[in-house]
Amino acid sequence: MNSSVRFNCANIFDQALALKSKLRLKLTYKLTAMLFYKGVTLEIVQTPDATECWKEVFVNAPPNCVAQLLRLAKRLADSGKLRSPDQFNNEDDGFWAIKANCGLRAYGWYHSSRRGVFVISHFILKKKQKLSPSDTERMRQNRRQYDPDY
Amino acid sequence: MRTTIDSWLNETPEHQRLFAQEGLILEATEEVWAAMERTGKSKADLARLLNTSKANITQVLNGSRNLTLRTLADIAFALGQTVKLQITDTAEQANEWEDIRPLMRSVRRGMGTIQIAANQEWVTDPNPLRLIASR
Repeated sequence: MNSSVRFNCANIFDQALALKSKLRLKLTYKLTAMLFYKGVTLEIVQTPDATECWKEVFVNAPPNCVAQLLRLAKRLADSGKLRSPDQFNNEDDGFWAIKANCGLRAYGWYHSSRRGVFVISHFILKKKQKLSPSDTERMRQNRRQYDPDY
Repeated sequence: MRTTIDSWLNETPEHQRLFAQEGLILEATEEVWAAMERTGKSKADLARLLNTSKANITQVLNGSRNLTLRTLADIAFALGQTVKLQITDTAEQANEWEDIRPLMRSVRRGMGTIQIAANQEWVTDPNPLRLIASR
């Protein structure tokens, strides 16, 4: 009987800890996720990792390339979809890539608990089509930090 | 709140010009995709109709190949569609993406009604969520 009670208490304690952790993460998300663009259908936010990448992108990528990526993101946020799989592609594990022709990409995911929010994990300028394992891992890390239900 | 897109656009007028350029290209390619969906045609079908390669169609549809007005007209013709062009004042585009879906949800929940004006002009009534006609 005693062990059963102890187990239940421990269980409640664990749940309380998990809840506290979730609340803290949600608070962190609200404090640090920067607004990328707010459209009619979707709100696009970016992680601090993406904000850091953006500074590099701004220096290295040609302006027309940046303009194309921004247009794609705006269209996605306004209409809720991009029809060309060459420009908006479902990668592994629920991750999506917004792709400009020059190789500039924005990787992200649809937030699990906040409907209508797309989170950009990071930006990258690359020539290879395939998603590299390091980018997948980077997205997973960012998602664990900003998406408590992941 | 200032967004990343706003910040980039406000850097230089050149950024705004490029953004407008890319906007038109994306608008055109998305319209072609939409027309293909409506008519049930694939990229391969379109390539066959235009007597060109599927790779060429792919490049046109992802914006990497310049889409001329002639090509756009040919694509529309092949799909049995017509292209409509309109140049409008940039300031008037502020309401371009006015979304009626949230309003329709409210109407379905019995929170208000909608009337359509004869001249297609919509104004809000002081009564929340109720739209009335204006002339």
